[in-house]
Amino acid sequence: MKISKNIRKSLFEVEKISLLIISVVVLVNLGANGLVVLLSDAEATSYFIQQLASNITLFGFIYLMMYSINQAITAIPFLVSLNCRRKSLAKNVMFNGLTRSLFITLIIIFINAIVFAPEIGLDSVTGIIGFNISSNNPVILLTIAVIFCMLLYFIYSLTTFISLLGVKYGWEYVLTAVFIILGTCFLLFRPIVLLFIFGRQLNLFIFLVLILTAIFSLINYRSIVDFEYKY
Amino acid sequence: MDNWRFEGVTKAFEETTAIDNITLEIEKNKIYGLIGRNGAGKTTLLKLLASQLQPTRGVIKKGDAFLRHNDELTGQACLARETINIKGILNFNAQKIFTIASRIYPKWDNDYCNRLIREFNLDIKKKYIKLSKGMHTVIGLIIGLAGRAPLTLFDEPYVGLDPVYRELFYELLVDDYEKNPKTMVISSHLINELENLFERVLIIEQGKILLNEDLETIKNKARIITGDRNILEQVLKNKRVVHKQLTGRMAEYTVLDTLTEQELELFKQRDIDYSSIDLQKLFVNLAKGVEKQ
Repeated sequence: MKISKNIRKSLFEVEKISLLIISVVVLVNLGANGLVVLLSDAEATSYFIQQLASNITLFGFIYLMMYSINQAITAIPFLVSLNCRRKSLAKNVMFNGLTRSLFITLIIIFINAIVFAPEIGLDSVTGIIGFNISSNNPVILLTIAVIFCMLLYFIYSLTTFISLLGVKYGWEYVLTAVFIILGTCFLLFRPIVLLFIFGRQLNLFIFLVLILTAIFSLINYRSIVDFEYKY
Repeated sequence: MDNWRFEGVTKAFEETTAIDNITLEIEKNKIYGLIGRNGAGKTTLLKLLASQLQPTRGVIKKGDAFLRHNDELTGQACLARETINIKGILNFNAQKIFTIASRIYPKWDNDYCNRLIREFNLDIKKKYIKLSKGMHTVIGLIIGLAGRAPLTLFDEPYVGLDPVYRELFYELLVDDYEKNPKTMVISSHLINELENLFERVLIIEQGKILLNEDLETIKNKARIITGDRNILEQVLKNKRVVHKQLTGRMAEYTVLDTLTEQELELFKQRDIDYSSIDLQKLFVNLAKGVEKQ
């Protein structure tokens, strides 16, 4: 238990760099948007609030991807070179992904719920996967949060999988994987839009995400346990 | 049953076989010298023991327990190398590396670590990438010593170190080993310098173990025998000749075998000279081999 906690602390030492980079980018972005508030007319405040929400949502996703890549190419080789216990390391990598997904979900849901609250009266699109986020209904918010968290953890598992593949076999595979994913998204553009706004085929989507997340998590666990430090 | 064992271990990288079907036992609480030429497979062997690489074939065991997928055994080993891969964490300094190492190694001795930092005059606040090559080695040595792992592996622990620091390391190693006995494997090219530390010697060549003996036994067995080529062939036909050097009718054979008093007496009668050989010369001759002559 103590070893596992120590590994978590060590992973966090490496994570600090990603955290610092993303914080700087978010702050610069929000700072630039904040200038609009100072220089523009009365609509600027609501514009800034929307920007805040979309920025944090977007950077939540980006941070999780950065975090998983950083773990695969930096933290795991570094800790393996120090003879870190592999199963504990693998479990921690899984667990950290889950906690970060949960944490980012909470931030995103909280901020979106406030920003799109009816009393603020923003007339932007408030439909997410067929639910109305501005309703402030706890059941709806919880449902959205669970789906969001699943989606984040799926992205985390997928990015970790691709990065570990890159470390093990070479980065040409990563490039191939990225193109395959982008190509798939392009081909499925319409269903994806329908899914994210109106919740079409939501059950199938949840089923696929759960299955793929389980597969990627298992592969990632095995890859970390069998990770070879070749430097 | 606390010995580490390689059972038919092979490690291949694409088309290169770095370790070739090795079966070997590493005895508890002994200091092993791992000697081999560049690319002989020393680092691969150490990495396999440290679980940083996985065998392509065969198994590594401690007693009856398999090393692969065994966190308990992985935690018992520490491989100290001359460099640490800090790609992506370039802002790390020695202090941070030691902090993380102290969390990884269950028996980490912080007081001893601080003492070693003072002894080696290491600037722990300085970024790792800004430290000299010698200081990189020092960081590896401190992790190896302060980690107090039951199986400590040093991969060429002298790279970039000046003679004063090298001497200091040997003193600290012996001192620590007397107080806290553990199994150590030290890979090296500086055979003469480290010879006195070794209790057992492993000589590896092209992924195969050529020799695995106690240093004392090697010293008793290894001899250079010089004389008439035909007579040498006759008297040494049942002995392990590891190298032959021929000069006209004369020859110089390197033998690694037990020679009785009677045999030595016979050598004198037949004008054959014999003398002992140091480990470095034996290694060179073993590496050259008999077939190549």
